[in-house]
Amino acid sequence: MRDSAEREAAVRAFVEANGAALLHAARLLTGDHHRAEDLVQGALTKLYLKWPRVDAPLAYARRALVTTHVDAARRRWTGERASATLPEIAGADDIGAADDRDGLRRLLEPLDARERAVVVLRYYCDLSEQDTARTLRIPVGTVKSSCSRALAKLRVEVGRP
Amino acid sequence: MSPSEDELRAALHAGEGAGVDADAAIMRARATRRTRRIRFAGVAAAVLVVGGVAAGVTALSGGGPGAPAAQPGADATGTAPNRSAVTATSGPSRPTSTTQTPSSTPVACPPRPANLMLPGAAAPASSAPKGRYSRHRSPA
Repeated sequence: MRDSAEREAAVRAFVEANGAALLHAARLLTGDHHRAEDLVQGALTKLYLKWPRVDAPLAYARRALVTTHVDAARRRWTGERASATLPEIAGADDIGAADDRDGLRRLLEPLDARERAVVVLRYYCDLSEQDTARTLRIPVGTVKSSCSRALAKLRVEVGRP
Repeated sequence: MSPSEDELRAALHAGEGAGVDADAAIMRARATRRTRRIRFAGVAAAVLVVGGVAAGVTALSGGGPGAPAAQPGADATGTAPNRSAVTATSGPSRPTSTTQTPSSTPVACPPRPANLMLPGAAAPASSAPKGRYSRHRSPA
């Protein structure tokens, strides 16, 4: 019982300290705010369940975030269903935030899931190439090539009128 | 026009919003853990029930290690004094048991089945009677 309370206090402190960064990273990965919230919730659930055995919680949460996103992107069925009725319509106050999110989504839109993960880990989380490779469990050379390819795509997108 | 890495970093850091509700995240994680535990307990209970039923059926059908051995010497009418309930419910007796004389002693099953010799193999010393497989003996 005491272990559970200690774990919850530690997880709560971790979420309050790193939740915003994780949510923004998830938003960059998915390009969608609601899917980003789901992704962060899944990563935090995995972290909570394995908290006593995790040495570096932030690295574990980042890894859970990107691997869950890359795995979900591999599946053909993403859980979305066609609907005859439209969902909620955004209000006027959300327009500015939606514009920001849309610009962010458009910035990384041409990248595939792994390239997006590499860019987010390298340039948003400021990880080194070795740490990025360790987080994604891929070779360092793959990180370099993915990063180079992603930057080339972004240059093309920015240069396009 | 090509964005530098610093510009890319600035663009990625722009628009950082509010954090995550920690209480809600912990509540959902706790609910997930509870669901997993309930599912695991259900699977374990199902395995235990199936194992118990299988053991009970095996014990009742007389195939278990502690079941009493069948008595071939008992007659078909079931008048033997030590006839057990298991043998009474296990169907009619063999016809060979009715042809035996009342004075013959019941023959118990051997503890292990007799080993049959394959052609070209050495004969087991204890099981096969002599002369039965003389066809496979060496011509010496």
